[in-house]
Amino acid sequence: MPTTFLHTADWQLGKPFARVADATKRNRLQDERIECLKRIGALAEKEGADFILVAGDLFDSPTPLNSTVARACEAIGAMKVPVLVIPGNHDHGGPGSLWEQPFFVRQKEQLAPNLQVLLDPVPVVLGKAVIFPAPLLRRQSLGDPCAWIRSAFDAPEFPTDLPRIVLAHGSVQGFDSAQDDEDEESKGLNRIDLSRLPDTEIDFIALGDWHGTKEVGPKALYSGTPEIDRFPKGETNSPGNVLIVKAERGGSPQVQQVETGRFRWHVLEHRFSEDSGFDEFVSETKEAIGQWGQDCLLKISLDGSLGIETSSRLENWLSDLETRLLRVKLENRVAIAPTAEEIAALARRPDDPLISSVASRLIALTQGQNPDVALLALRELHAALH
Amino acid sequence: MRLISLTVRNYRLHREQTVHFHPERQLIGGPNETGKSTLAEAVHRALFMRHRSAGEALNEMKSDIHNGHPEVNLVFEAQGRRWTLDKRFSGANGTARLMSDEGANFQGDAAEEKLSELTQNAEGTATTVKQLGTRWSHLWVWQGSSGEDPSQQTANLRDQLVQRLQAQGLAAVMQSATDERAREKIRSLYDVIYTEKGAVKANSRLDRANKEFASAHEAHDRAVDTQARLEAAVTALEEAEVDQREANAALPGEREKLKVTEEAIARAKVLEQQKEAHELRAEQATKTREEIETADTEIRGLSERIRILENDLCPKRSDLESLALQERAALEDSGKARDEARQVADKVRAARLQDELAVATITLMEKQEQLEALIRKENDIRQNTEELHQLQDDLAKLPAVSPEDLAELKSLESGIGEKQAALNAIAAGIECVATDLTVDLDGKTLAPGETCVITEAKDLRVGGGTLLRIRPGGGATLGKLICELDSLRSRLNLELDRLTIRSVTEATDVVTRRRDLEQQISNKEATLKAMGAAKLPAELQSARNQLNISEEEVKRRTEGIAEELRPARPTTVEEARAHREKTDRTVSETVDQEQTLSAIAEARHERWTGQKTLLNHAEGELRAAIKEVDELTMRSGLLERKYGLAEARSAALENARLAEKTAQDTLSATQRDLDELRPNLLEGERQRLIQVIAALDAKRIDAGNRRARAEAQLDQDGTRDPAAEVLRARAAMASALEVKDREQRHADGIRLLHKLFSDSQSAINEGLTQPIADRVAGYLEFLFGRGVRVRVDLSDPGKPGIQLIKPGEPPFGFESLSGGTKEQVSAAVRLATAEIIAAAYDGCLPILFDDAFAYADPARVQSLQSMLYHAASKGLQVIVLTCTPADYTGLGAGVHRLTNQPRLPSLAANPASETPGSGTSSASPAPLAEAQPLPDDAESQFMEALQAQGGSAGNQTLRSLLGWDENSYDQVKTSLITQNLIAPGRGRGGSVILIGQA
Repeated sequence: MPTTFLHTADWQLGKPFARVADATKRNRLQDERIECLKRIGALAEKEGADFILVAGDLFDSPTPLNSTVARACEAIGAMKVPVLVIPGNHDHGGPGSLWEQPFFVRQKEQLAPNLQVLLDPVPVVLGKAVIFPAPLLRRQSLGDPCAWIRSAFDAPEFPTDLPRIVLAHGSVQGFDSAQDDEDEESKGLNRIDLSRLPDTEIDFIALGDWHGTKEVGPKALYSGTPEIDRFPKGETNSPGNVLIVKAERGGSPQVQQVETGRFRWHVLEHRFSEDSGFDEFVSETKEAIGQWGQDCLLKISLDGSLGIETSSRLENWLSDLETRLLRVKLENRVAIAPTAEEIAALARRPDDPLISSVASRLIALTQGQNPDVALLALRELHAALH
Repeated sequence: MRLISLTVRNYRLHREQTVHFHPERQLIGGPNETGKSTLAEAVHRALFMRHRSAGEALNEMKSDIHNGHPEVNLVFEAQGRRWTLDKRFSGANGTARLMSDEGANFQGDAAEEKLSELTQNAEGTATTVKQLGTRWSHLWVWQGSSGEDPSQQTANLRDQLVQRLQAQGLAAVMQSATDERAREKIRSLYDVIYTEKGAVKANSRLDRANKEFASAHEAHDRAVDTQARLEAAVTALEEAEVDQREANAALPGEREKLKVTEEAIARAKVLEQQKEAHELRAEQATKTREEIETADTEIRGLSERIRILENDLCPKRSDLESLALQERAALEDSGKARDEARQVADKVRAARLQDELAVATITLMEKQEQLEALIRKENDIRQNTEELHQLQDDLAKLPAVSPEDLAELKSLESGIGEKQAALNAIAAGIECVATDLTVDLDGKTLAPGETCVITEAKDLRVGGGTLLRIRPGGGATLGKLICELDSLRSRLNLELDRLTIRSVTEATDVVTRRRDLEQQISNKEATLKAMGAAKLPAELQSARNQLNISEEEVKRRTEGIAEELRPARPTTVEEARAHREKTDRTVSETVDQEQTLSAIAEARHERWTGQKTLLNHAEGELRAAIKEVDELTMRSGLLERKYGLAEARSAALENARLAEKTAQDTLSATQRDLDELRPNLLEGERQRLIQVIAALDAKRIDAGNRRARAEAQLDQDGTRDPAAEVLRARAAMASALEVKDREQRHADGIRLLHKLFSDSQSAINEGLTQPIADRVAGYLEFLFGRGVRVRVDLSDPGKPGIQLIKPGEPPFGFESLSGGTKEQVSAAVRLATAEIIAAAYDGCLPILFDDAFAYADPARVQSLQSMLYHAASKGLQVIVLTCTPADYTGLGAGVHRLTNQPRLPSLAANPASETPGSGTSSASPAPLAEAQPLPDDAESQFMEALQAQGGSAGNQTLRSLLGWDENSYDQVKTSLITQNLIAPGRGRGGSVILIGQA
């Protein structure tokens, strides 16, 4: 009978979502990460999981707020199975770490007795599996946190018939969670070398750090974060899931991906070649947002150029979106390019010599090396006349 | 539009006053308080004040001294017509009538409307003083306002100016209302962001964005710092733990090492002490062995030495004996030689004695001879001396008559002879040839035959009764001669007596005799001197003494020689000398002998001395050898007593060597033990270990402290999440930067727009103001010369400006100009503006200056007149009100004069001035009626008028200026010519010239 467990990671509880200016929206984003744990608990119960493995980054910070800690323990305590956690790079262990803080210890004891934080690189024997944890004891570790596992099977002091599961957090060749997070810098550390783990001795490798669900070996998978916390990069990235794993000693694991995320993170790119493109862009955004804009986050990259009038309309539309959506991340590289009509309306005014003169000079400046200020000035002049 | 005439009635101090305006240039002159400004005001109010105005405006016009409502009658040209305007200001009852020369007639408000049309007064006629102030303010320069900046008024005329300039094709453009709105909007946007000086306004959106960014940046830095400190604390904690672990692990080992080292040190100390004891024993054993060895060696050496010394003693003794014999023989030889030498020395002495006696004998005999010679010489001298004494005695016996005495005597005798002869020649001789009577001459009886010469009167008594007084001839001479003769005789006798001679003859003999004797004495004395008489006694004494000495010496030497050997005394010197040669030879011979024998004796003595030394030396050596043998023997005995004889010594030495070896072996063993402990390194090692332990202790304690500190830092209260705060701060900073950049771009755009608006407007304004500036410069050239320029800025209606630019000087703003220059520049601007606008008024506008050049100096006033003349030539009607009309003679203006007693009412009634059309041709008032009397100050007026004409004027001109009839004019003229103040001049109709100006 195979052992069933949930593989999840990167809960990133307490993530500040600092780029979201609106406090209410920010709180919604943060709260949803706690809400998601209920969905995981329910799934575990439903699937009859023996335990839940969290492969690092349970918290977003090594110094989470007490309130976050308390809510997390509460949510974990509500899960009816043991929850095994290793510290990741965001909530690393080590001297003085949060895992040693009296508050956490108290909360864990009081609210989440089923929570087991694995701080030492030693095999942990459960009723139906042996766990080989690779906890991160510092944010950036130069060595392979799984190195100790290479020799862990030389003289085993654990039941040999139980499935052996490696629980680790870090990057494998080509994958690095920091690459797609706007708040992080990739340093290529905490590197796990899967090729050096004794393949036949291990039955499953539960990985954390990469926020999309990703299979990186026959037995090695990143579960990804259960609730999306960043704009996806590339089509293969598939966040917002947990994995249901069935494993046994010497067998191939069976893995099922279950979606748990609520908020939708979309990416839109558009290039304006003429003013009529604006309406097209509006349609695209509406399509992406759908009916429920308040659960949607949008990353918009804009390029090309628009006339003065249309660029003002674009600004208004973007401003509307920003209000409606949970978040709009905007990369607006749209240049103002006055149309021929706009130029004529400003610079050819025989009755208004002053305006004509100013507009003509501005238009001349837009042909120069640094046209931005002149273009903005043209727009202001345009606005002053309407 | 041109003014032709003005008449006011009941207007302030004017009962009635009429002014006829010169078509181009009018001067209204008069002292203060004569109502000049009132006339300026009257024209202005006629044109611009509603006839039914009341209140302050009306009250100002009313007269305190004249009854009736103020009335103004103004005749002017406008729109090609001549107009007559009558206004009576009496509040609600005021009237207005405007009539044209073509018969148009407007009453009341219609008149006002028409008037406003003619004056192009868009605001209509005013009802208040305040409203009045804005009407034609550019043309009416009120008293006291001439120095005001005219640019505001010019700016108010912008529209008119633009129209006129455009009409003149001067390319002036006018911004539109839209332009203005846009400009205002941009300006207001600019003002929201920037201050007047272009700095970002405090609390503007840009300023706030900048500050928020700065604040966000700071917050970010703080958050990062906090996070970094937290991370540093983690690292510090890790390091502290490692340090603590390392120190705790290392300490026991190091302490054990220290214990071992200290034990080794104690053991080394014991060994060191043992080693010292062993060393001492070994040293003593060695010393004992060496002592025995040394004694043994010494004893053997002593024995050998004694044996050698004793062997040497025998030959030394026999050598000594031989040497003693040789010494004695040498001593004897030496004695013999010395005796022989002594004997010869005695011989030498005897020979010397003989020789010395011979020499002394010779000397004695020579001395004797010398003495005898001296005695002979003594006898000679004595004889000569006696002879000398004889001669000296002879001389002494003779009277001491000198040749001089003799000459004196002879002279006296000769004088006596002469005198006697002369006396005889004159004396009377009495010879008693025979007598019977007693002839008595002066008492002396004169015997017959007796003669007597008388040389003086003498009584010759003959008998008893005859007394004859005989007087010789010669009178007094005789007496004198007798006296002189007596004197001479007396002197001769005295001299003879003194010389103790009797006569002159004797005297002559004595002198001769004395000379002989003296000669002889002298010769004798010379002889004696040559013989050395003086030193002879000394020589004699010396010779005698030497003789005695020689005799004594001979005696002594003789006695020194044995009697038998004494030689016979020689009898002669030659004998003595021969003897002496013999003795001398004997001496030489014996001396040679003595020297030879002495040398032999000396040599023998030296030989003996050498033998003696050898002997002494040999004796010394022998004694020393014997002594050494004795000493060595004694020392050997002592040593043998101490160390025993040879066998005993040998046994003792063997024992000592054994003991020494044993001690050395023990010492070596101890040293080996000690060396194994390496005692020289032990203390260093101990110190090192103490330091290591101290350092480890310190490290352990320090690590503990660091750990506690780090733990305290890491002990979070859970109310803050530094990592999240960093992210939030970073996001806030990025957001603030975005806002800042956006605001900055917006501000930059607005600033650019604002600048472009300002620049463009400046360009437009320049198009407008340049023609004005050019004209103003044209006027100012009269004042400041060529090259002067003016900048007129009307771009900002709220802040127009004028700048004066003189060649080579920086621009001066109007406000920085001097009072006089302000007035003049202001006038130039007004003239230029009026000139442009005048085009809309048929090419003419009146411009009035009321006492407007108060600050101008006389030279400048002259230039001003040229400027005003120029303005008039451009179509303006220039009206100047001044209290010094004489200053403006160069203007060539029509002159209207006011006095303090404005009592020429006939002028006001002059119908000619009101005749339509007449004003354009003549500005001169009508002549006075013939019947009118001349004013009191007629002569002054005449002079002023003439002065105003530059000191020379035609009679016609001057008379018309004065407004007098011909009679009056001639009357005053004649009077002034009589007073020699003016002179008649030439020209048509005649002229007059100011005296001094001709």
